Amino acid sequence: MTRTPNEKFLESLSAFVDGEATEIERYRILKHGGGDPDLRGKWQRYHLIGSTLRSERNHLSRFDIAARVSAAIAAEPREDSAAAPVAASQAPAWRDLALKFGVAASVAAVVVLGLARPGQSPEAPQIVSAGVTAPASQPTTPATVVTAAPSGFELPLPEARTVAGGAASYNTTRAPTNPANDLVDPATQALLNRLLMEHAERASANGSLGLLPFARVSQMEASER
Amino acid sequence: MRRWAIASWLALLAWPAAAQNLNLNAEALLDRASRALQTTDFHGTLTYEFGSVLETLEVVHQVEDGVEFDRIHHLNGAEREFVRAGRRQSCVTVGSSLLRGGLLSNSDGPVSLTANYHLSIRGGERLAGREAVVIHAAPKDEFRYAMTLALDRVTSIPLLSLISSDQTVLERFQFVSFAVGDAGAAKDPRSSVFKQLDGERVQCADAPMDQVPFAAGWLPPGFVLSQANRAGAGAALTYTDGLSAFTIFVEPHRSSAPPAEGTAWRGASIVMLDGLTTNGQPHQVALIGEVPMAAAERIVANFGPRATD
Repeated sequence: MTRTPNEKFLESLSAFVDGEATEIERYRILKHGGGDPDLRGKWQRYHLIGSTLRSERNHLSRFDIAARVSAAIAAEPREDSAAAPVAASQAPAWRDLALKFGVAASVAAVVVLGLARPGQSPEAPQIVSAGVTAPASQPTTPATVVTAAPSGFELPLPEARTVAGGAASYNTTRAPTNPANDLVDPATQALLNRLLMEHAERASANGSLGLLPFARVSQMEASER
Repeated sequence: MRRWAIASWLALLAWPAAAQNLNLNAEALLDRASRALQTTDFHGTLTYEFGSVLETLEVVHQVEDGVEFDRIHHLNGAEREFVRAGRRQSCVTVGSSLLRGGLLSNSDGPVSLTANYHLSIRGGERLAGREAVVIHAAPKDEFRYAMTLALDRVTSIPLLSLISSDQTVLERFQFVSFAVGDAGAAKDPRSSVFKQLDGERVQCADAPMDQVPFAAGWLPPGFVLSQANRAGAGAALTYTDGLSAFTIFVEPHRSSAPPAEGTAWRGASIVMLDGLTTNGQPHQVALIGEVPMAAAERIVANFGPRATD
């Protein structure tokens, strides 16, 4: 019983919308789904159907995602428990965690792949931060994670975190780590912050959200006027 | 009177048909949002979050005689305030052009927002006490992140902007209070250390750019050069696909130690440092922007001196 390419596509589409597509099906959708208006119409209808079926579970699925995001956040080492003036400039710092190359930065955390100090080989940072063992395993997602839905179609807004229950779980205990090992050296920190600020100025001049990119700037040299 | 009544009944009947064209409406809404950001007087406070960090900010945008004024001020942590004046409303950037459904071209041919993102309306949301419509831009390849915007129904200003990757939120902006109209005293800078930016230096899409001796040998589909500047013997080039942007900085490396190499993330932003030697002179290359590592790696690997004919 052979299926036409269109039928195969529609099955993939349905699976895609329901969050059950395999990689090849996702590839098929993303490659071929955009152009044909008839298929696009079917796509919209599948999405509406899927949404309706899930409408009773939306409440739950939002909290699942919220739990996953907040758990990822919770797993992140926390720096701003120190004295306020110091923490003010350190809290949004770039950090250096022992992370193997190839692990996707798919966790909502500030993850930094070792920055080679001048004169050292790229392998060196892993040695430098070898003392920090907790972060190496920290990015693994906790047991509460839901099956990853296809990118873009089943992403509930994280506003559930602003609900009282969600907010309470936002600041759960974090795995203690040695902050000294996490921080990239000050000279590189300064370089990264300067680059971030210059990019913020250019992004706000070239992009679509006004001056919002400046929100990302963690430090401003006071002498800049 | 009767003709008007019939016309409005017909319009009501046409509504479900219009609602079917969800993709068209998402594009039109983004177009409206991009224009509204340049034309609307608004001010408010918002949150900016990533990882365990929550920043709070106030933002002001005003227009007077066709000239825009912007102010953004961090309300927590280190004092950071930026004020920009002098940008002409008529100055449309490449990024805004793309967001408004414009068709531009780069070396690979025509470029448009919808060629690289699936746009869809994801329903409504209430933000800062106002009703908003949620638009989602899903990436068509692995070289950009997904973006979710919630546009205020009355003004079309984005009240929420979220960058995500595979179900994970990388960063989020969200207004908590929002008002339209003259900001009054809120226009004035609050801190004593604010940075003044020159709005006249915003690169308009129709204005010429500096010629720089470097170029990206490879770009993810849909990215166009939006601003290029010479900086001494170095250069800065900014690229955008309408929703995301990145900048490549390159400068001669004077230190005896080799240029820094490595990758760092902060929220949705990535920084990738690499060394480049051209004409026997080592250079420091830095790519920074809100793009996935897959894109950053390949762009940096293919970045180098512009081929001279």
